[in-house]
Amino acid sequence: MKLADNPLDVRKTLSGKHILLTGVTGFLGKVWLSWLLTEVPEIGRVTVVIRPRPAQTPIQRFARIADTSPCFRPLRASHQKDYADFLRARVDVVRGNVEKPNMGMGPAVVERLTGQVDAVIHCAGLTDFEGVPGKMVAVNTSGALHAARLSARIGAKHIHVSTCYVAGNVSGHMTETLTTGISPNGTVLDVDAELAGLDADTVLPQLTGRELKAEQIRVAVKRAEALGWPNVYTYTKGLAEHLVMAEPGNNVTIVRPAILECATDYPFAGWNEGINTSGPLSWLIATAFRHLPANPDFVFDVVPIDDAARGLTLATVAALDGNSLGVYQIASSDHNPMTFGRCIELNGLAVRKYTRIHGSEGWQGFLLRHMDPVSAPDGGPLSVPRVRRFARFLSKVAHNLDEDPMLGQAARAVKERMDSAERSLGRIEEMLRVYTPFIRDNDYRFATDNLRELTASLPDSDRERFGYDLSDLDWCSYWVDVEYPGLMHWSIPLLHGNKAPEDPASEPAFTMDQTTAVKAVSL
Amino acid sequence: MQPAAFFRVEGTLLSKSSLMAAAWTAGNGQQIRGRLARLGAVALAAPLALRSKGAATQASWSALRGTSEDRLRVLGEEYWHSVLKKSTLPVGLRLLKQAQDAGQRIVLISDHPHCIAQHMTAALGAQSLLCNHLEVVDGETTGALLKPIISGPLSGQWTRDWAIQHGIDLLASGGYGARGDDAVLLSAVGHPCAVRPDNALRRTATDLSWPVVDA
Repeated sequence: MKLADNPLDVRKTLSGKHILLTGVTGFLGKVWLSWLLTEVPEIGRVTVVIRPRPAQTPIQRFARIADTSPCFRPLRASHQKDYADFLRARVDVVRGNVEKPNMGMGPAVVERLTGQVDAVIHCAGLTDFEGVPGKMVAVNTSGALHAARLSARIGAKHIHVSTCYVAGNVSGHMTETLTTGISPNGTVLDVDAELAGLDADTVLPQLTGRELKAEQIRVAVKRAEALGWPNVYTYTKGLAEHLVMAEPGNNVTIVRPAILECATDYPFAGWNEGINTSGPLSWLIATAFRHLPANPDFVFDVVPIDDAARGLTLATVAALDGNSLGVYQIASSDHNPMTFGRCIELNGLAVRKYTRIHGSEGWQGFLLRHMDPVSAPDGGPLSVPRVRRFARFLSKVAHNLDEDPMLGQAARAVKERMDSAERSLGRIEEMLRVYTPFIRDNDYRFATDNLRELTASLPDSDRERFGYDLSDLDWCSYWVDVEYPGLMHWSIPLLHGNKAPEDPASEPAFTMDQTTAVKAVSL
Repeated sequence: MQPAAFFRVEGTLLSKSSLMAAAWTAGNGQQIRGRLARLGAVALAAPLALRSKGAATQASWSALRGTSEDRLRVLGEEYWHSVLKKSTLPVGLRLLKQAQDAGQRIVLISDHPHCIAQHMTAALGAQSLLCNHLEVVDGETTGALLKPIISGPLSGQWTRDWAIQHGIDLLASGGYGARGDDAVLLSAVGHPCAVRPDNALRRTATDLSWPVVDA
């Protein structure tokens, strides 16, 4: 059926529907839920599956998000004293664990959900580029399979949130397709064999602790690279796509976001959570580090999180309408590309503006404002390895002067500083190594035709509210006035070991009373 | 038809010329080597101002060739806030306030490129801005100024055409200039005024009995 013959009506399709959502404690899941409840309050019900923590029940985890996450500010502001009732009327919290079959839900809960849920949106995932393979497989791969099987069992459509970067180590135009059983470099893929190979227990049992972990990661990365994936994250997400697509009678829609960054509008401009892709790079550029080893002509595919929420909604609505096109990529590179060269310059300009407004310290602040970062694919004269080697050399020279009666004290101080700098540079070098496939080696252009086709089929009155199209996104204004200040407020403090800012708890605080909790949780 | 107050920004409202802005922007390029080359080019353009202000303006901004539009936008805002705003002239601001109180539409005419001049409009409460625009191709400026180039003398015909297009009653309007080149603009309005004039404009103002405001 052509979409043009059957225009998309987001509110009508979602009205009264029951969605089961995983990953609500994550960046996309949280924004999507808050945004959905704001824009489509006629949604029937959203059941969120949350894993308990040692000192926190799933309900407590959700209540904390609802009460203090800035992401829920618009909802708290618009419903005020009725906020808790509004949420209770629309959200159920279920204890679960995506690593387990049926996502860790008991038979009674599954029974209760059967025939009642219209779609399962599986957002849960680990975005650690060098995570421990066993855990990454359990969450990213097995978790996806469990979500797919649960969807089939309860008779719901399955929306699997993946990543554009399952494309692997390739450059060029990336279509919204998946050829099951074939890896990014064309190798025939046996997913079960891959999963067996990634099983933590099978790797070098003679090693323990940190050494075992490092070896497991090394083996997994090697295997990922052999198949054309740059790291364990894309490898496990890639395997997940193949698994869910190969499920008998699958009813899956795959949604692949690119790099999700600060919101443009919802919940408010600049909001971000956690340390996403740009955070460490932006932080790095705001230090004395001036040469980012990125290819200036390659595209940095960034999508504001609220636009991603719109994209995910459109794909869900298409699936619910029975019009899913299978794979939807949420990206900017095909219709409004921003190159790394531009992004690095914008980041330097953003640092400049930010420090002008918020102040910066001494000569270092002055230098940061006036020495712009540049892209240098070969590292440039001030590349991290070179500066690191220089620090090592100075440390050695200082060490040789250690016993000198005149210079000994100064030499020891220099050595201490150089050793500390060398360690920091080592960490930065390691971080850049992980990023290299995405910033220097591959130039991705992710097609977003499917989402934009859905957008075109929206009535004019709905297009701005629900449509996905980044053609008009002004990168300069976004990066300088939204992204960088947002990162500085919400993400960079985490890199310094601080906590993410939270709002004061709402009044009255959102709680689930015992009746609701028992009905919803069925532990 | 509405009366307006035409302010030739450089000299009446601001003490700094657009050559300064070109030099400042050149000195804040992305790379050190580019900064030095561009600063050198602006320095070479400066003496042209002795013969032709228009040629100097064009030559100085052409030194910015290859600068990204992003950089021009962000630096333009910074230049206004950090440099230019501090160089506003109290006498000009007083005259501007008087014109606003009289209900006149405020028209700013500036040599500065739009990336800088746009910040004056809101800050000074003006309704119209006529300024230079740098040509941008593929996200970078070519260094060329788009026509009409605001520099040196503005032709009386151009001023009259603009006034007709925008429903301005020139005879009821005021004009404020500071340099000899501004005489053509001032002679096109009903209420000309020389503000801190240079020698050439002072002579013209005296000859034509225009009011002169020095402080």
